[in-house]
Amino acid sequence: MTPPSSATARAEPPHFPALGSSANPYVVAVIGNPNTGKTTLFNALTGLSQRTGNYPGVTIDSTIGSFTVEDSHFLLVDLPGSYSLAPRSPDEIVAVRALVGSGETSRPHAVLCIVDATNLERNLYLLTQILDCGLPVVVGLTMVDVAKREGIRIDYRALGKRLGAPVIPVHAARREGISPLRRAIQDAVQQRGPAPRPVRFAAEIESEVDQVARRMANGKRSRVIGKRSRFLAKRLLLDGDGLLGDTLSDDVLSRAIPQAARDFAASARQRLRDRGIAIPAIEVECRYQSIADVLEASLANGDAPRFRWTRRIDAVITHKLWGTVLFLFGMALVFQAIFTWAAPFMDAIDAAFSSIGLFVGNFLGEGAFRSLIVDGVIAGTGSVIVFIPQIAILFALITIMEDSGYMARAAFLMDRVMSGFGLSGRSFIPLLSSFACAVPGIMSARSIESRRDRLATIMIAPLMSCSARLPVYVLFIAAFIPARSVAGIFGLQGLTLFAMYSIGLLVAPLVALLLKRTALKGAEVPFLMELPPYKIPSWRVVLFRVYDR
Amino acid sequence: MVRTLDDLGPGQEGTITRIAGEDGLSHRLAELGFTRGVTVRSVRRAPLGDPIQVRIRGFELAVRASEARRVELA
Repeated sequence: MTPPSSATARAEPPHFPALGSSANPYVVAVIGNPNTGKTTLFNALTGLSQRTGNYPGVTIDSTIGSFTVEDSHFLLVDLPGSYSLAPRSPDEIVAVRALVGSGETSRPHAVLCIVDATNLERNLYLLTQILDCGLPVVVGLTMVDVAKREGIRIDYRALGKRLGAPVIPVHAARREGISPLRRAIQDAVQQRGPAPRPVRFAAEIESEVDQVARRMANGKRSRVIGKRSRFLAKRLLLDGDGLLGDTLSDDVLSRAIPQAARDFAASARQRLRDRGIAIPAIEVECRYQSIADVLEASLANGDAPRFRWTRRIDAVITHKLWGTVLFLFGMALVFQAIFTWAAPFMDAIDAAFSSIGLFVGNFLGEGAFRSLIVDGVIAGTGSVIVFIPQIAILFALITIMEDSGYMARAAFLMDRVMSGFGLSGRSFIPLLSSFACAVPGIMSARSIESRRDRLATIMIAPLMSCSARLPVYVLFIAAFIPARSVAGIFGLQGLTLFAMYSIGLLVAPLVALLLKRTALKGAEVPFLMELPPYKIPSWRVVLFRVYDR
Repeated sequence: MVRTLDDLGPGQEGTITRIAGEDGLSHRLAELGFTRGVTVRSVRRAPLGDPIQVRIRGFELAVRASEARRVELA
């Protein structure tokens, strides 16, 4: 018997980090309707571990955070808020792509769906779509305190059983429900939770879905239909006429969907339509019907009229006369804030950088290098940093307006004016801010959902003469325009200044219209904008958003 | 002429019969809960007449008049 040879060095097999370890955390996708307190809950779950990431291929940010339960590590990925998985713009495909992944092993391990207790019916629409995806689902129920006040009573356990996903009430700001939620997520990723119970559509539809799903595996007919394939097949069948069917819209998804599946889905849609089943309308019908059944057993609405305070406030804010007056006053305040409140800080920064420049300059000899450091690096950095107070103040004000719910009302008031030149009410605040300073104005345009509107707004923002130009205008006017009077009252110089501002204002709508018709051609995005109930803005959210920007 | 959401006066309600059209807008309206048999209320209009603040299924949203015309009522 020869002893085991130790002459040959054997390679160690690669050590793959265990699932749930910090090197290989459980991945949980977080999704929900807009205005559900998703951000606050995300913060409560992940704390300071948050960072802003980037979804490939789209212009929106993703937020990623993590938490630990005992020895298990979790990575939370925030998906953009939406009302439905049916994508209507390239940005909205992100959610479907994240849930599908680029393969069975690259999907999240579970999905956390945030649901607003005061808006159950509508929120459940997205949830029932998520239940299709084959991953374990956990429901984080927010606004439960508001619901209680409104007299809404929800049987969480019954609801959870009907859905096949545990429903955990949380109060993020008070940190209530966070531990149970984390534990439910842990159970979910370790497959210890309930199995999701998706909505079953009519038999003909489900059998067509099966057929499409069989063709998902590289066109080869497979006998076993995986949940991922089935989810993708159903979405393809329902949304295939739109963006999901467009091969160029997303490379990850187009690789996942073979042509055979695409073709079959198209013919399936036709067969169903011939039988009087409207695609995609049938999805809405089936889901809301199912939601009504589910809520029958678990929801009791109060009798009192809801959202009294919000209605009272709205009566003033959106009032034809007072609402407009209040709005103009508010905007003037925002403007003023950016101009004057930031000024002392900006002067201080300016002075600080000049001092640094002088100080450093003393150590360096005359010449190009010194100039590079003092005038280039230091002054250059200073000229960027000097904007920070303005940006911070603007973003603080904007976040307060957004979080309190006022922003939606502002867009509501201004929409008619803005649609006159092809934009929507959502563009108003970024454009107004650009009069003070285009930098924070353009940055705040990131919140505009429609890509075309967002770009158009950013393009015309510089046309709103910003405050830095004022001294230049004044100087040039003083130098070139004689101090004559026109029509007895107006000074020619004053008129010219007015004209400089007006030219920008007049050209802007034309440019916006032009852009939307030519370079930024595309489908119009519906305005439909939710007017959430008023709430006192949370300081945490404001501070975090300002810090983040 | 079919009665639509755009025809409602402030404070008036109507019951939805259908959503006209088969494009992205009609589908989005349906997804938000504008379905047959549901009551929708027109709360008020913006100072310049557009958009309209409506209440449906317990929440409120702003809808442009052109979009509201898609919502047909009984």
